[in-house]
Amino acid sequence: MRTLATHRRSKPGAGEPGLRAEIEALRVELAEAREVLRAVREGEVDALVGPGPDGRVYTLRSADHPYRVLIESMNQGAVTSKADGTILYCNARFAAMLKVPLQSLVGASLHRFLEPRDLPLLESLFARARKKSATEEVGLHAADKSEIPALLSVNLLPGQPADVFCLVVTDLTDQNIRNAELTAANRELEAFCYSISHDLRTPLRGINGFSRLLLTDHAKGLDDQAKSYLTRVRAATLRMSQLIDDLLGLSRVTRNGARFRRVDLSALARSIAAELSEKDLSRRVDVRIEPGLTAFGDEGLLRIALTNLFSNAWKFTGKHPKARIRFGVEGKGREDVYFLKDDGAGFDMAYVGNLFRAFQRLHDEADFPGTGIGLATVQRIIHRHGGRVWIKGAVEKGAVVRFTLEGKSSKRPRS
Amino acid sequence: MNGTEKFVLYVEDNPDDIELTAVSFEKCRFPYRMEVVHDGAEALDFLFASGKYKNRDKGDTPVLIILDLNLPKVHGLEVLRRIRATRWLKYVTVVVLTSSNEERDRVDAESLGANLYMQKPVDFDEFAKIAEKITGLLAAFPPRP
Repeated sequence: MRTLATHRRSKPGAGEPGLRAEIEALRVELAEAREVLRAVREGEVDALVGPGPDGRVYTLRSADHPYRVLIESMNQGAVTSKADGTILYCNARFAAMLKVPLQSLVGASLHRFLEPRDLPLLESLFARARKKSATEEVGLHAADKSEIPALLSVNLLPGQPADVFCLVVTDLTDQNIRNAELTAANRELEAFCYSISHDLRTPLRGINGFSRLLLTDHAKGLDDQAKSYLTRVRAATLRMSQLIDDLLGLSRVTRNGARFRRVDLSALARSIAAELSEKDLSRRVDVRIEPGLTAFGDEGLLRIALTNLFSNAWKFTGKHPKARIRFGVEGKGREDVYFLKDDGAGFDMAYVGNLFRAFQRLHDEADFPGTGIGLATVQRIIHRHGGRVWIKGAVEKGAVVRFTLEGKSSKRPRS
Repeated sequence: MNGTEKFVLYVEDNPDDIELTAVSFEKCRFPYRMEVVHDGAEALDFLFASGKYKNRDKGDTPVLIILDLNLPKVHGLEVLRRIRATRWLKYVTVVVLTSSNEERDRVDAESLGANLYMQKPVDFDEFAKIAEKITGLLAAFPPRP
């Protein structure tokens, strides 16, 4: 048996003092290594940072803990799998979704739990996930042979020796049920509105028509009071007819789908103002519309909203020989705030809370006719666009309606 | 029933509407007799000479058909579809006169071949204008003898 000393003597120039120093150094290294091993074994170490291109951090179980709790308690299923679909890990939620015991899933193939027609989709997800996170709706195949609609979100975890994929699985069953219920409810609402409109208008026609015929064809048998009453009957039917139209309009805002795209608000406002002045050439109204206003929204709905607002401004300036209406935008911070100002009859701010409720009117029907639904419709449309609308006014000092639309709108730069 | 006289077929279930329409047309001095049927099935029986109209001459076609949409038994659009699918009826002028102003109904009626789609107005004065319009239409394009 060769001793260390004997072995060492063969090296040139070492000598005994060098040997002792070396042993001491080795002893220190050994003690340190033993200490590290002990610390690792007893869980005192949170992380080891190793060499490598991005300084890989390997965390141990104690540092993992919060993430494990997250994964195990979240509402979605979590799975890690190999490229060939072998399940390396999954959480209890995923097992519950598939109605199988957790233990039976580790090592099993994901392919078994996917509807066969969606297997190519899974392959495509894995392929796309190599570049960036990919998501698809698939059908999961549960143990009781039922199909579960699910959203699979796949991320790549590159590693050695092979890549691993992390999947987040969201059960879409409830969402699908709710969507179906919503669609059914909307359809019912549509049918209801349709039949109401038809059924309410029919007797109105009769009332209006027969009173008219009494006035024209049987005037001889009627005194002035009778004729006056009949005239009021007819006027009432026309008001009710307008009401039905306005109510239908209000319901249509919710019923119909909205197509969002860039809309030229200035052009829309100009065409509405032109229509209003054509209908009443006797009015002299000074309308100023800021040019270059665009917004992101549904053109049809925005037309209805602006028509309501302009009509109101037009109507409430009716008693002023020289009326002014202004439409523009105030850029306050991040959002564009559109405004429509008029210097007409205005209203008492004490009642401002009523204005957006359907049927609320603050003025005498005789002075300013209307059904009181206009602003409720405007509010619904603005809300549909994710915006806010508010109004300020003072008696005989006009009113200003301000609204925002999703905060995404912008002015085109003036050329 | 005089088979040689030109006539208009009016398909409408509401008796008030029938009365008001008849009076409106009278005031315009509408030159044709008005034949009224009260639901979609009766309209088809009349046009195709079946049921209670089996002794009619099918070839005696109306110069104009005024058609309501919301009819009992058979819907107005179905009646329209049958008319346009029938060789000897497909060129008859059809005016749809209905309560509805839903875009969908207008589109359906026009795509099924209605010549004119009008919403029944609540205001009788407007109703009278419609009667004048239809009378004018027939005067401008008199039916072939």
